[in-house]
Amino acid sequence: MEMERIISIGGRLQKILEDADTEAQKKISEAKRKADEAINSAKAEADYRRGRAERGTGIDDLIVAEEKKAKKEAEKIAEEYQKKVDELTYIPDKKIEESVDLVLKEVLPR
Amino acid sequence: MSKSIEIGSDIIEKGIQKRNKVLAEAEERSQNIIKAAETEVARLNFDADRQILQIVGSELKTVRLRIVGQTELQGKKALMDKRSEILSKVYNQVEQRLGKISEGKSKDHDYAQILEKLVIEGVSAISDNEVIISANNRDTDYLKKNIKKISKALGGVNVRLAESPIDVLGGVVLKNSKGDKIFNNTFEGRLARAISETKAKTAKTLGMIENVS
Repeated sequence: MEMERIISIGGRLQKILEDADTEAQKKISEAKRKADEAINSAKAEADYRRGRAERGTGIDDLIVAEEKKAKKEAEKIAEEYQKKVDELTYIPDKKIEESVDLVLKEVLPR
Repeated sequence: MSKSIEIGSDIIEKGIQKRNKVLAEAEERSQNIIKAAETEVARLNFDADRQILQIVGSELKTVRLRIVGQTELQGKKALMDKRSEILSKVYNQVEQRLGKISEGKSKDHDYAQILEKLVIEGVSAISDNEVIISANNRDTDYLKKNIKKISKALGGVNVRLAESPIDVLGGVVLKNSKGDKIFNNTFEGRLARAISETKAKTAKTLGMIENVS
């Protein structure tokens, strides 16, 4: 009677292990399917984007991004030039006078 | 506990462990497959972006040049305008000083002496036997009165004064009798040359540029 019970347990366990194997295979297959799908989708998307770029279409986003980047850079450049202009606005009178003397000396005969 | 129950428990225990192990390994393998796929997708996207950038690179450069280049030009122009404004201020002040000098209002300068030097220098530059000198009304009068004194210093060159005066701050325009040699030794002419010769030095004095070669 006890032996029969043990055999019965063994049989049920065998079934559980077979189910686990099936579940494992299913999980791996599902992962492979998802991976293939993602890669194929990325390949198709890349081909599509490349094709549009070659035809000169579909690059609006890139242009907008470049414009944004360039505007930021331009703001910085404009600020730098403005700073230089501002520095020149406050030239001391002494320097102006010095320059006047320099030119005047050159104009007058020695 | 009977022997058969003990064996049964052991079988169950080992069986469950094996089942968990199989499922855990499958989970790990699945995650690795997904991770590898994610890496591959990222690589594909990266490559595509790079290739697209190469394809549309010239268009993006044009966009950048339009925005950054225009700002750069505007900035340079604003800076140049400011520099010109300051230099003009300097040159205007020089002109005012020259006006005062020629009117004899500068205590640091003797205009008569300056005028004579300008004539002598001009005659030497023309290098001819006969030289015609033009000046403004005031200077012509002075030169008429002092022509003998000036001629002495010119070593035999025949000097004549032009009949019509010229409209200048001071100084003289000289030419030979043929009229093919002309030397502008007026304040205006000398200032123009001085501006060109001292521009870099002046800019440095004003702190507009770092070095002067």
